[in-house]
Amino acid sequence: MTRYALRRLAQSVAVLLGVSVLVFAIMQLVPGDPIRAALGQQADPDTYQALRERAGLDDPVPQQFVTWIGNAAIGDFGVSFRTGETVLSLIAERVPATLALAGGAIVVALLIAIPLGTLSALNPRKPVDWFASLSSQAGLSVPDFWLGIMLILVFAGTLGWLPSSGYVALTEDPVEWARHLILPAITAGVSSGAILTRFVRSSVLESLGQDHVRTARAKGMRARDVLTWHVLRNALVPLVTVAGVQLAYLLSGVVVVEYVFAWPGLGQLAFQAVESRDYPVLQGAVLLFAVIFLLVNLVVDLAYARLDPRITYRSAR
Amino acid sequence: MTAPALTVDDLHVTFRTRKGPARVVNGLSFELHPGRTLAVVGESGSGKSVSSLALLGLLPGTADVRGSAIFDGDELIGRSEEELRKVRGAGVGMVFQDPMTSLNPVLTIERQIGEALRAHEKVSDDGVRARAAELLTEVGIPDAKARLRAYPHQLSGGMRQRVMIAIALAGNPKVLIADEATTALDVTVQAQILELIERLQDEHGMGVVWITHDLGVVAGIADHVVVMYAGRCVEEGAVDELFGRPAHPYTRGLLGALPVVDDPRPARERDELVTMPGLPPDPAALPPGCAFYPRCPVRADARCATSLPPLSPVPGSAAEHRAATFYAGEVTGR
Repeated sequence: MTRYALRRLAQSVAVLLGVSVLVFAIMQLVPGDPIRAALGQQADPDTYQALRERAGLDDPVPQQFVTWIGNAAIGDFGVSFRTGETVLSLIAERVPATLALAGGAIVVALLIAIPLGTLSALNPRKPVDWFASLSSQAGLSVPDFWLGIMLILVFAGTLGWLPSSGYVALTEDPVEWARHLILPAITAGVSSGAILTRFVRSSVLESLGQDHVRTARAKGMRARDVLTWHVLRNALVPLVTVAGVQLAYLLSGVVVVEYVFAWPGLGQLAFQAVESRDYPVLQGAVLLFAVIFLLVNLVVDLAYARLDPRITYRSAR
Repeated sequence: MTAPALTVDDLHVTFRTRKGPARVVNGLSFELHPGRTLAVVGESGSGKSVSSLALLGLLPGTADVRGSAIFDGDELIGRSEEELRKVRGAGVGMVFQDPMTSLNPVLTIERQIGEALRAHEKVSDDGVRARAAELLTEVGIPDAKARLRAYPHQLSGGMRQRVMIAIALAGNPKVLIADEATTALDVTVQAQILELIERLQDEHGMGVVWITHDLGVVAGIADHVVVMYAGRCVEEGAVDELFGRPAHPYTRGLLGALPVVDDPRPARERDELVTMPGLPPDPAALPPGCAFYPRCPVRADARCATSLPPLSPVPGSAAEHRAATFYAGEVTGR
C-alpha cells in the first residue's frame, strides 16, 4: 500500500510537469501585457522596461519556463505582478477559506444526496422518487449566482438570521466562521448534491438487488440493519469516487459563489489573476488546482481499498 | 409419524407485471416432517425458488402470495414483516445457490455469521466470536478462528458455501431450505456439501427442503419428491416410487434426460439421451388445460387441452404417490 502510494505520487509529479508546460504555453498565447496592466498606460517607460526585465519577460520563452519551473520546484512561485507579494503567500492566505467552503459544500451535498437518493431508490416510481428526481433536476438547473442571491435575500435580508457575505477566520471566531459559511456552502453544495442524489439512487438500487441483501434478510436481520450494513455500506464504495471528483471541483474554486458572497477563496484569486494578466499568480493557482485533483484522486483510490477488501494495490513491475 | 414441521397448502404466487399478472406458483402443497428431506424438482422458472422465498416473505412487493403455510403450528402467509423476521433464520434457515454473491463481499465472515446470531438474541462480542468459530468448525472449516477474519473472496467456493450453511445454522432452525445449494459447485465439492447437510440434519433433526434441478442429487438424499412444472406439483411420491415408476409424462421426460451411468453397453450402443422439446409456458399466459400439454409426447386424453388434471393417486402405487395427469397408461420402470 505504501509502495503503491509512493508510485502514485511519482506519477503525479510527471502529470504536474505536463500541466505546467500546458499552463505556461497557454499563458504565452493570452494577449495582453502584464506589466502594462499593472502599471497603467501612463507609466514611465524606464520603470516599465525595468520591471519587464526583472520579471524576465524579455528572455526567450523556453528559458522563462525553465527558470519558472526550477524555482517552483523549490517552492518559489515568483512574485505577483500586481501586488508584489509572493505567490505562495497569496495562495496560502486563500487556502483556509477555500477548504472551509469546499468542505462545507460537500457536507451539504452528501446531506442532500444520501437521504434523498436512498429514499427514492427504496420507493421507485413512487411520489418520493418523483420528488427526488424533480428536485435534483431543479438543483442542476438553478444557476449558482441566482440561488446565492435568493438565499441572501431570504436568510440575510428578510429573516436576518445569517450574514449576507464575507469571511471570518476560524481562529478568530468559530461561531461567526460557521454563520458566514452556511449560505455559501449551501449555494455551492446544491448542484453537487443534485448530481450525487442521482448517483446514490442508482447505486442503492443496484445494491438492493444483490443476492447478499436477500441473505441478510433471510438471516432475520431487521430492515434497518439490512439497509445500513448491506445496502448503504456497499453502495458507499462507488459513491466515494464520485464525491471525490465533486470535492476536487469544489476545492479548485467556485468562482461565482465566491463572488456572490465576497468569499476570499482560490477561485477569486485565480479570476483576478486572469483579469490583471498576473501570470505568476495564475500559474501558481492552476498548478495548485492540478495538485488538488491528483491528491484527492489518490486519497479516493486509497479509501477504496479500505472500503472494499477485494481491492488490493500492488506495485506493478 | 410426528406432526409436520412445515405444511404448505395451495400456495399461489402472482407477480404484477406490465404484461399482466404472471402466475408463477399455482396451488403448491407439500408437507415436511422433522428429520426428513423433501426434494422440490423442476426446470428453471418452474416456481421452485419463488415458493420458498414466498414462505418467508422475501419476495419483492410486486408479488401477491395466497394460500397457507403452517410452520411450527403458526400460519406464515399474511404475517407482518416483524413476525416473519423472527421466523427467518431462527425457524427456517436458507442456503442459496451462489455462495460468491450470497455473501457480502465487504464484510468479514465473523461479522456475517454474527449478524445471524444477533438477529434473534443479544450476544456479546466475545460470545459471537466463540459461537461463530464453533459454527465454522461444525461445518468442517479448519482453523476456524483465523477464517473468521477472512473476507468471502479469500475463500474457495466450497468454503463459502460452508459459511452460508454456518449462517443458516446460526439460528438453530427447525427447517433448512437449500435452494440449489450445490448447483454452483464442483462435483466433488457438491458431494461434500451434500454429506455435510445430511450429517447436520441428523444431528439437529432438521427438516430439509432441497430445491434443485439435479435429479442425481435428489436420488441420493431425498425421502420424498415433489416435481414442479409451471408452478404446480405434477407428481409427488417417495423417492423410490417416483424414480422407479414415474407416472407423469413430464417426470418420465426428466428421468429420460438423465444419463444412466452404469449402463454396461459401450458408449456408442447406449440409448440416446432423450431431450424434451419446447420450453415451459410463459407464466403470464398459461394454457387453459394442463400446462405441460404443448410439450407432452403422450396427449392421451381429449381433456388434456381444456381442463386441468387433478393430482390423484397413481394406480398400483403407494397412496402418497400422486400425479396430475389424465394419462392412465402403463406405468413401468424405465
